[in-house]
Amino acid sequence: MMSPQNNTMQAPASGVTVRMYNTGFGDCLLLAFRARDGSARYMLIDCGVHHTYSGGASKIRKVVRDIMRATANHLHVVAVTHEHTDHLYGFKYAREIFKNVRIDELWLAWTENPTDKVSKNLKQLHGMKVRALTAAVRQLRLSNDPLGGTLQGLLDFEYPNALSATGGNPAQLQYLRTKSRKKLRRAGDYRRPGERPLTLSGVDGVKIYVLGPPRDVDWIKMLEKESEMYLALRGTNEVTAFAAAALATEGTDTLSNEDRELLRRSRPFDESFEISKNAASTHPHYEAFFRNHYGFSRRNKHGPEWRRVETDWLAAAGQLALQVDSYTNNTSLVLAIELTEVQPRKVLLFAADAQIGNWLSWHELSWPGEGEDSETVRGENLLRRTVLYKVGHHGSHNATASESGLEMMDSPDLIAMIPVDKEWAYGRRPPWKHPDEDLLARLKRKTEGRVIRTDEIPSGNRPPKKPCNVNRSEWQSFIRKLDWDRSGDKLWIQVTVPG
Amino acid sequence: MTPPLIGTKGPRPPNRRLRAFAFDPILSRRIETHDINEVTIKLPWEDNLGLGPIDDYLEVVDYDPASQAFYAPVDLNENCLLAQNGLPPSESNPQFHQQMVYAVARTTIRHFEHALGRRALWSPRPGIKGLNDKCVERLRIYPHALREANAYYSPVKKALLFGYFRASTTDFGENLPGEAVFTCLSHDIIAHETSHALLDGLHRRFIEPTNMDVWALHEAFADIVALFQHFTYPEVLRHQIARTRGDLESQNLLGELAFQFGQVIGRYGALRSAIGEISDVTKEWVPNEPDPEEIQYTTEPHKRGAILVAAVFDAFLTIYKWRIADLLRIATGGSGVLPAGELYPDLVERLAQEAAKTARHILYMCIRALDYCPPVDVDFGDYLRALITADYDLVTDDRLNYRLAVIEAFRQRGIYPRDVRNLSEESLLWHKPDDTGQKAFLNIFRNSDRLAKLVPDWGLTTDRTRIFVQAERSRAILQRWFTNPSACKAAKAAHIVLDKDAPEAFYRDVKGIPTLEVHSVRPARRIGPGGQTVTDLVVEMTQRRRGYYDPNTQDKVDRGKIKPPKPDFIFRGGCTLLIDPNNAKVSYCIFKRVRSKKRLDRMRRFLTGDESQSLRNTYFGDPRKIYFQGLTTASSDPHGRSAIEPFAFLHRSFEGKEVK
Repeated sequence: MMSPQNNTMQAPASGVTVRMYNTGFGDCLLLAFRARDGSARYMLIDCGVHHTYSGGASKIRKVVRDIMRATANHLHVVAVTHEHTDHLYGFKYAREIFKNVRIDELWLAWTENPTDKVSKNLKQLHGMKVRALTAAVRQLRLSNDPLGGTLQGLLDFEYPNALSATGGNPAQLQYLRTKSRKKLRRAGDYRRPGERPLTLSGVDGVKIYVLGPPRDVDWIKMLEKESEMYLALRGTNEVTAFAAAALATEGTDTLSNEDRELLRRSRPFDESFEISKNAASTHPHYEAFFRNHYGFSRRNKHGPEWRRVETDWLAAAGQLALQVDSYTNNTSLVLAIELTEVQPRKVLLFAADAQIGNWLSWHELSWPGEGEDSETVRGENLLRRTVLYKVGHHGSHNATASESGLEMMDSPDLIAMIPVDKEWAYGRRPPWKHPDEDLLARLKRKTEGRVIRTDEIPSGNRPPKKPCNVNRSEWQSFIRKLDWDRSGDKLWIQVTVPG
Repeated sequence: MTPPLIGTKGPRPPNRRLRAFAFDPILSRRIETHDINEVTIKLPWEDNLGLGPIDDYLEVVDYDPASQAFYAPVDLNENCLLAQNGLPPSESNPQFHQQMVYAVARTTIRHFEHALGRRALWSPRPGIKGLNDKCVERLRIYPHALREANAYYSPVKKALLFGYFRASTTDFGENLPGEAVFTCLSHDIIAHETSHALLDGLHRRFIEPTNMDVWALHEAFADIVALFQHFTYPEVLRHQIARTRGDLESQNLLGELAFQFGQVIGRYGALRSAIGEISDVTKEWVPNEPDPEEIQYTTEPHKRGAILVAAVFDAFLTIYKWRIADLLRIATGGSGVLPAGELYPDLVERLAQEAAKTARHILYMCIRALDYCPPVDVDFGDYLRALITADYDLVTDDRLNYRLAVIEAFRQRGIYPRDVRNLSEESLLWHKPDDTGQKAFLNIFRNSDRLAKLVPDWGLTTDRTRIFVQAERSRAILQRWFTNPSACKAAKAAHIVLDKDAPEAFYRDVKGIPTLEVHSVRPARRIGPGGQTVTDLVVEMTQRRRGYYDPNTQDKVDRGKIKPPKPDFIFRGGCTLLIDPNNAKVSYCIFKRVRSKKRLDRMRRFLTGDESQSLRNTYFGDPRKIYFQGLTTASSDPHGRSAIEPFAFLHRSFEGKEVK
């Protein structure tokens, strides 16, 4: 439904049109709503491409040019779900093109609030873990351990700036903060799960529920307790004690005072027991023992190399890597957009990269009824009414809950959207299984084939082929809601959900 | 210098005594267990125990790579330490850690050697291209090698790596939040890891995940040794017997493993228990009732192993109860019903003796069974048959119903051999070769003299390196005997494939004949209850084929349609022969056919299907597949850089949180 005259993206008469851009490997979704006065309101959810995707920068520049054309340089809302490059790097690679954009509101999760004590601690801890993991990976690769390569794959998902000492907000978010007309000042300006449903100015019949990231009460309690116990805000536990040692493999001179203190506290014995390697190789009593039985070099009369244990301990970094990976994904801002003027009400679920912990927390949420809506809305109600699901984390198996997620989406009209490049993801070594085959099969069943992917945008005018076991008229009505970029660029595909 | 005092030199001490924690440090903090938690372990005196400690079997080297520090080795020959049975238990002194890890590991080795009646050898270091294995004299122990809640045996480094870690600040059990916890101070973890190494020394293919039971058996065996070792400390035993009034089915420390570790990683009680556990729901202790279905759906190796452990422990309890029935009747004037209150100390002492004796019998039975296992692809059913056959050979008259108790306990946990008609003792015994087979074997073994030279003196005082060298020679001799074309009938009887036209996936020698590896030649010598010495010669032979996940590729390779690509896994077969050297007859031939298509399919299904969906596995891959990847890569890479650590992997990968 492109208007050939001005190239802007048309808002549907009722409901919403969701355009999914093909950035290569990354999320970039543009939503168009119709306001009371008939004009369009645009909402952009993420704009990113993975930083290791080759040609990603030029691809996303094309995408951003199209966004600017489609919205006439006016974004009413920009929501950034989390800090991974595949959700964010459009604002880096295409900053020049965004120069003239007008952004009315910026939506960020509470985890991005620099003054939130909990989020600050979480971030700081996370930053430390990322740095420790980076150090561990470097050592593992130096010793040719294949685990080094595997862990690098996980680290690749991390935003490179997280390597800075504070793990603070990356420059791209800073840029958006200054661009946005409405400033984020107080805690209330950040999006929190369970807050009063949001609306879009001038648009009727749309309510937006914030589902995540969860504010886990236990987490908060623990951090507050710890902050009383230690000034450094973090105690030693299995992971931090390991991380401190991993950081120290790069040399102790560059450690911050805090890391140094952590390293000191994580040592197993009083320092008087320790004999450093240097000291051991010249020790008056034990030099011969350590040389014969452990060894300091490859020479004769040194213990054999194959029995030494220099890097075996670093394999524990796997645990760290899993924590690092799920942390950022679990801080994903999750939005459920409800169309209220249709019966039954329809919900569009934008799950970002939320992993299981995040999903489970939605079930604890509820919103009291307002005005003529006297019914309390619960997380489960929203899932049950979902008609469009932006699949979590490019369809990886761990970012779509089954029983408490996908299996609750009962609507016969369900459509799934996956921004993914399967060939690229599976071609990585080791492969990223995005999308996961089992999940994909389930999605196809639940949606009766209505799965839209950025790596399967139709060519030219030929619509997607009907799967064999699907009713023809149903498929036709789905195709009618669909539109896509008919140029050779295959920049986007979109679907309209009427309200 | 003072001149030596003439005539004051005493006799050589028979034992060296060393102090250790009976369980782990945390039980010293509880009033009720404080007094029994320090034990003194009695080891045979060794003149050449050096700094470290280092002796003929073990070398403790205390390097802590995470802290980039060495810790000074303890000198157990120092006068002050000799006079007080070593250092007193202390968590904060690394030298005590060295002493304890040495003492417990050494005592575990002793149990193993006693049961088998021969010296224990560590698994050799494979030479280049699988030839000329190198003897590994000592198992290395690193008490502080890892900074995580983990400890494992490394078959690559022939070493035990113990970790230490900080207790969580939220979930710390009886520890202080953030306090250091050392796995090398847990009696059970030390005994467990040492048992892994001992088992690997005996069966080096039991670390290959060829079916669901192999890794589980490794874990189960290690747990069995650790559990029954509890019964060898008399003070602990008496204390627990008194506390439970002789009822070892109720919650007690003897039937539980790694208490502190279990608490710290967020369990409410021990890491594993053979008798029961604290329920997640009620937080109350509930006994572990046998459930014959559990084995069907339990795949994680530790949990699956725990079913076997529970079965063995059930058998132990049955026999123990049977053995103390008369004592209870005597003590109660015939009723057998104990009055309320504490037991009389003499009764406690006698019950403890019975418990200790039963535990020793069961432990030795479990160890001896290892000589009766197939060399590859073992499963729980094979192990049951091995248990029964080994015990039958030693104690033909099962007066105390040990075998009955074992069979019944296994049945209740749903553990059966794959192709046995019923669970009677006779049908569980391994087959003896038929007359044709026997004749073929006799043709190459000929007489006892010819066999005698294959069996060196493996007595408990022989030098272990000499044993290794002799065994290498015997392996070469047997290899020649069996591959000699005139011995083709014997090879056939042993289910060995030496035909040129065998499936192409076989690994072959230069002449195109499938290779045969004689794995092990060893005597199994033991003393029966009647005092008679029973000796068998145990010979293990294996062969290997390339395995592929894709059945079509497999088929094409086997039919010689394509040049074999790098295999996805190695499929092995082979046999264990138990030979009576007195008449050169083969008592048992326990085999896994290397040509079996069914078994190959089963293994492929096991490796490709039912992937454990833990988050860890998604990112790091399935440990079973990765094991074979490492193996097939390592065979073309003599430095073994790509060899992987199955136990490190096993622990880390399965303990990750499952995705719901």
